[in-house]
Amino acid sequence: MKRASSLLLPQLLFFGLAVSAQTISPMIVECGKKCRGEFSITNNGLTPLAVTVEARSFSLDTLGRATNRPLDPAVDLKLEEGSARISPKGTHTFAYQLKCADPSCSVVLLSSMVVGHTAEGILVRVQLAHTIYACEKQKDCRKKVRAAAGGKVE
Amino acid sequence: MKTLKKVGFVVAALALSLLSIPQSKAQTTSNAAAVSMTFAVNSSLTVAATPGSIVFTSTAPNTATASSAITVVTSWNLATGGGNVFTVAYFASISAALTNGIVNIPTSEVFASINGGSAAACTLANVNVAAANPGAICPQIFGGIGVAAQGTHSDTLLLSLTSATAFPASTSSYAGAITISAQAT
Repeated sequence: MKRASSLLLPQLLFFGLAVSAQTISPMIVECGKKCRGEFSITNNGLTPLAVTVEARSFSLDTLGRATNRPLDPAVDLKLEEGSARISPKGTHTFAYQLKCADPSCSVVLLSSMVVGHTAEGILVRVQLAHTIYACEKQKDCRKKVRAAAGGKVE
Repeated sequence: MKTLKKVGFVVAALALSLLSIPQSKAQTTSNAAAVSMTFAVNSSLTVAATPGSIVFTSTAPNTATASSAITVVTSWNLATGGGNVFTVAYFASISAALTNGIVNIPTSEVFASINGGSAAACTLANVNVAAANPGAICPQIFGGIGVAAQGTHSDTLLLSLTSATAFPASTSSYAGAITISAQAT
């Protein structure tokens, strides 16, 4: 019993107190009707990290808040990888190609990652967004989309 | 012997003449070479959530509190100020925030208190973000509108369980996952 508890304690400390700190870069990009892009996820932690990526279309409200939905039919997105395993302190780059058949497309690539596991209680998962604004012309695409949503444009 | 002396004299004279060349003539000049430097810094967003998991302890047959609050630190580095950064928490399923495989605890029985505020059920549908599952979203953790180019915000998320009836006893534990999601727009 003593031995079992001595083995359990380090596990609880390792997984239970593990800091799930991850970084995405860049977080916002603008592009034309067709573009290639990439983003990186950095695992700032000390344990390997499994990352899965999913794509969503989104709309903005006047405050700039996004409401996500399944990918619009006008969006043709090719993600080179849908998942990866990132070593401690490592960085992984995900590449994609995007074609937008509408005047503008707002797409978010969501990278979800989790550290450790739990058989009891709640596991904390971190999700970071790579936001893509695609327009006829790349320049000021984000401003145009935000203005079209009635939001303040800086 | 005389010839040898002569040769020695000539060699010595040549050596001396070499030494007498002004130093300025040995110097060379070169054009200043310009070295261009570039340093690209991409925008970035970092979220740290601690601890990585929590457990619940019953305080009554129909209530339970989390072992600790989850500290969520959102950090960003934008190209310019004025952007928006949002951090929210949500569950993947409305009907089963936690489950023991047979009995489910829905999101209507999971309450979240942000930064010590009053607890509200994780049943929101109209809070921004990500893959957010309408009806399974907790009160917003952080909403930065028109933020400075660089910044960090620390918040706490304390979860608790409250049901109208007692939680069914179970030989296996209830488990689930909460997603802390951050997006800049």
